[in-house]
Amino acid sequence: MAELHIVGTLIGASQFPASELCCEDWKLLEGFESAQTQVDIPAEDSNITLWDHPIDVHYSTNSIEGWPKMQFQVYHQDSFGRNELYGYGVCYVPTIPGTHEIDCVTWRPVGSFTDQLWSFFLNATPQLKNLDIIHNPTDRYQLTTESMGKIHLEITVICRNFQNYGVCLSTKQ
Amino acid sequence: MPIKYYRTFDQIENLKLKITVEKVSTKHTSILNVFSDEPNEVKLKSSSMEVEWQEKVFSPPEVIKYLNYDSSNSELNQQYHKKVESLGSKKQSKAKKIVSEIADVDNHHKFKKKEVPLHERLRSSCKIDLKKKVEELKFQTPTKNNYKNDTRLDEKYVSKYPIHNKQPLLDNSFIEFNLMIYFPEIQVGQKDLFSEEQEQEVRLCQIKYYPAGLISINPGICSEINKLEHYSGSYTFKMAICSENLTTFDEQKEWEIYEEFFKRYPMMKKVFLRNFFLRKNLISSKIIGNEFNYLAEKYLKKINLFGEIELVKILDPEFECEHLYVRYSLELPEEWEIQNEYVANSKECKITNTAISQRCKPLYNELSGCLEANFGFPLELSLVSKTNAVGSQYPKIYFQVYSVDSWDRHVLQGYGFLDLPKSPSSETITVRTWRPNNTPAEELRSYFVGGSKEFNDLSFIDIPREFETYNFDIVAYTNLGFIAILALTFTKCKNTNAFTGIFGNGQLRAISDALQRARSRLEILRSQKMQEKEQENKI
Repeated sequence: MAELHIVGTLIGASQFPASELCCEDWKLLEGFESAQTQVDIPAEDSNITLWDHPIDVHYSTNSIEGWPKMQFQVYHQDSFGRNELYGYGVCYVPTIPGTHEIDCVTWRPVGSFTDQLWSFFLNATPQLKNLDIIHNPTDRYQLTTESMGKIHLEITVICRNFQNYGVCLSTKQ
Repeated sequence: MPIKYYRTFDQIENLKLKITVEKVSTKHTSILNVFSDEPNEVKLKSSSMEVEWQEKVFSPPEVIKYLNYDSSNSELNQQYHKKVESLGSKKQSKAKKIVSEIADVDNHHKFKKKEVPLHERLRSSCKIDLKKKVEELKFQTPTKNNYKNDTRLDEKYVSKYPIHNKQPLLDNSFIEFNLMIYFPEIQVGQKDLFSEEQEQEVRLCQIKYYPAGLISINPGICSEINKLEHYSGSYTFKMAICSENLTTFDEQKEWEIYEEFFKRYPMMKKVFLRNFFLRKNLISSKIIGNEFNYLAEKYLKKINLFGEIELVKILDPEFECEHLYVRYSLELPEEWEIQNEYVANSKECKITNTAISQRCKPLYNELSGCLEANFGFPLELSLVSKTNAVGSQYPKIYFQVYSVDSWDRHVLQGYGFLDLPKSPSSETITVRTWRPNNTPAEELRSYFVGGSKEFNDLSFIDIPREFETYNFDIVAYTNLGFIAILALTFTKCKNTNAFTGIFGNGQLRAISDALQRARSRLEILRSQKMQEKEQENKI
């Protein structure tokens, strides 16, 4: 079986409307690793939140299908300590060995007019009941969303034994 | 005689002592002896005996004691009982002999250790007060001035007396072995004088065995005669080591063993290393496993595409629309198929020909100066091909971008296509889109009613299939500036089972695996044959 190491950092996020953010429960679908970052309150006049959260996972696979992907949930914490959903995002781990800089775009669901009114005054945005929709393309068309900011990642991928099973991961092989 | 210390390289079990005891004079003469005619000289006996290390010899009262079997006794006592019974049956009772040995249960099995507190031992040996020394050290920390003037600081801060002063006789545990003499001469009538039974037994010699071959014998073995005073008389005894000497034959044998070890050493090293790596491979294969889902034999090539449609940019920042959505569809050439194995196994990911993303509200991005709609829409494909020809067609993906206004009317905003990359890569790809131009009447219609011109055949986006039948001059295209950005990673699989891949790496691995299996089988067969031969030889 082939092995895969994913090492890297969750650097931060940018272009969100308000920037006190924490990133919760990012998940690797093929593993059981999940973690939550700290809440970052950036300096004034800067639109970038920094987490610098480490990522280090190791997998062994017997097929290429179901390559690991990362799933993000971004929350905003206001001055009253209320947590508000600010975005969902998914991104694939690159298959090419080496270091990659990845920008993961995020979105959040928008409900009906009353939901929007509710969220405006109470900071309670609608959330997904089933988180599978984040990485499942089939039932997405029923959803209306709003685009939010980006999450920045730096990931190093190390692959082992894939070439023994006839898998080309880089142009050199 | 004082205590003497010995060192031995041999095992302590080989120690044998010969003891001879002689009676010099009698202090008390028994009443019976006075009236008897026999002279006193006859009573002056001498007897000798050989004793092995920790050999149990029973004295007459002990024989009586252990003959009475009691099931509640300790295991050692039960053992003694059996021994005594066997002695009785053989009628060769050693108990009649003068010299006997008692090894108490405690002495026999438990290690004794003198427990002296560590600091006391240190004080007695080094004769320094540790407390004072520590205080001195505290106050004499080096200052800068001190450092310059005094070049030899060692004498001040380093103690002359080493703390680790090891004393092998005090620190180590030892096994004790006592040689006792038993006086049977005291008769029934005289027992009042020596009422305590213990006084019939007097210790002749004490042997202590320490680890690392150190032996202490008290009194030491020498040619001089030791004296022993007892109520019944005064005795002299001699001790001599009578354990067998190393013969030249034995010495040769030991040298042979030594030489053979060094002859075999390189071979042993080789075997060890080979076993080590075999074991390592075994363990890693147990943890990680050796299986891999190879391609089915009828397919020659496989493509895996993982990625997502990240966002759609609208270059015109004043474009009016409520939502945007993207639809993609896959076009497969004849030899290509979608692989469905993974779909059957898991419910989560489905590989589909077409899919529609969610509706997303675009937002103005200050950095790029245009409207952006984030989709984050995953796109996962695994495709297999039956041909491996160079010029064969590759699959394509067509994109359609639609906008939805506040009346829920869908308008096509752009077409785009993507040729799948032909070598493994991981990159972000931008797809520029366009749409057919509307005539003014159509423009008016779409303003009031909604809707727009669309292709019947999606292959028009790339090179149309029925190229010659269409008249291209009639259709004009406008670029509205809808750009879809994709992040894709792409892998390729070759079929290693097919004949074309004999010299591939995968095949090499398979060959090496097969070789290893064959080797292990051979080894098993060999060992079986060897065993059979041995059995035949035995017979």
